[in-house]
Amino acid sequence: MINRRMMFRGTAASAAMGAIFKNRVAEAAEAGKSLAAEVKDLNFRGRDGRLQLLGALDLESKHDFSYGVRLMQGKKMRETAQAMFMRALDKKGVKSEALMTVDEVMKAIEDDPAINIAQKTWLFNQRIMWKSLQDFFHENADFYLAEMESFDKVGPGKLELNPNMEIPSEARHEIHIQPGGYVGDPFAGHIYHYGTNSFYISVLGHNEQDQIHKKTVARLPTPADGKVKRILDMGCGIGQFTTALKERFPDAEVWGIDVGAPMVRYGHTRAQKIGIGANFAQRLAQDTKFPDNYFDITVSYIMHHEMPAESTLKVINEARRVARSGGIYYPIDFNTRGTNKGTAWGMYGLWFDSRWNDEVWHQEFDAMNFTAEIGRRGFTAPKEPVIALPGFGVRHFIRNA
Amino acid sequence: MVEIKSKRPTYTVDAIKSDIGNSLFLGNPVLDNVVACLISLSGDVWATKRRMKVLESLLAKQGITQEMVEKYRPTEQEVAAWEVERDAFVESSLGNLGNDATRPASAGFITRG
Repeated sequence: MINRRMMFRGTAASAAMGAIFKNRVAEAAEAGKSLAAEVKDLNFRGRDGRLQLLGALDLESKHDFSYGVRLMQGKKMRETAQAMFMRALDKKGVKSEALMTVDEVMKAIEDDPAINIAQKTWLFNQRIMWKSLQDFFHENADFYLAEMESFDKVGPGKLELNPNMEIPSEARHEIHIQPGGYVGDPFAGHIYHYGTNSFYISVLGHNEQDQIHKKTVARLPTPADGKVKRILDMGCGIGQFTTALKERFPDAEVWGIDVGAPMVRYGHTRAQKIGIGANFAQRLAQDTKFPDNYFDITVSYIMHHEMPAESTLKVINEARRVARSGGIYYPIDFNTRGTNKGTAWGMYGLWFDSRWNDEVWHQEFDAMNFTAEIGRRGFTAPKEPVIALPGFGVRHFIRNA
Repeated sequence: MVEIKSKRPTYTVDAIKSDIGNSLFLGNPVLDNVVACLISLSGDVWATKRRMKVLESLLAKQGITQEMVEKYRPTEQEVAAWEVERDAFVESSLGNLGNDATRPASAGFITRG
């Protein structure tokens, strides 16, 4: 826990921080020479590369534990639950490869709730993890809000917040059961960042240094004419993909937009801290406010399964509007079934993710043919599409003339 | 709206709350609660063990080595005191495992006196 006496004071400290990061040393000294030591305390546990260490050892250790539970849950507990699941299907005379709806699956296993032990462990480990993070950031709220304030107006990357923006109800859910979701907690970005690191470890590998984002960006295709002056990352969250884009294309104007103000605030703060000049704005992917034909590359990173299918179609149309002729459109997200039926075990997992992990739109997304919908809206897939993130949908598109 | 201890702007709106706290996955709410408690408790145990590792590393740098820790023999007084604490810990953490309960919730009042 950060000792509150160690925290730097509000406005003066904000001015000092901003000045320091703009290299206005003299101004910083004038704003609060005596604050220098306190400013250091902001990161008193230090950094691991680009990851600011959590503010307390025990909190970090609890997260280390949470990683371990997630790994164990994803292997041993999942295998046990799956074996129990298959026995329950067998008892009912249901073949495991039969295609079923979620309702049919849940009916088939309702007599043996012990099957849900892996889901219980997954979600309650996650719930405890979120709560420990939220408690910590709330206990130190003024410190972390002051830190974000100190970076809000600091460049080189811009930050645009729209406090009067109407936030659609579809974006207010507590996705991944993260308390407050992306819009309802001032530290949504902080909480999301540390929390989702454990998601990566159990699925794709370590991502504390944005390794997954950087590798994915490195594989992204570029327009045939090689021109990459402007890039848009729709639904950027905390901007790990956005910053990776700016690192690969340092001369490009790179924008990350997201509905969640706390997400883009944290993303902007973090980008400035690690010295990456990406721009962030609180805007909707369905209504980006950018001019027609503006972007050479338009991407999104695992956003679409977190919005209604109807909104996904609107976002594709918006991507078509802002992309220039020959520009790349590459929305990264899960593969979809394109139907509401699947194997029993697959639909069981989809149900828990949608219903209990609060991924409320995932079933809708899964039932649509996302790739085909893009092809119907002014984009063409090349003959040999690039696989940007192995295991996920391959949606490499070029905007038609 | 979430309440926090700061007057600074938060740029938040109300979220639609998940009902995960009311979920019953294992067919018995007590069983669900026990699993949640175990996960939480285990996290605290690991945090304590990890802190201990940090302390041991720091002590080693001050000349107190792992070998010295392993070879340490407590005094008679320490042994006696630690055994009392150990037994209390075992009882408080695992004592309920030996509880041979037989009466269902619907059981009538017992005859007293």
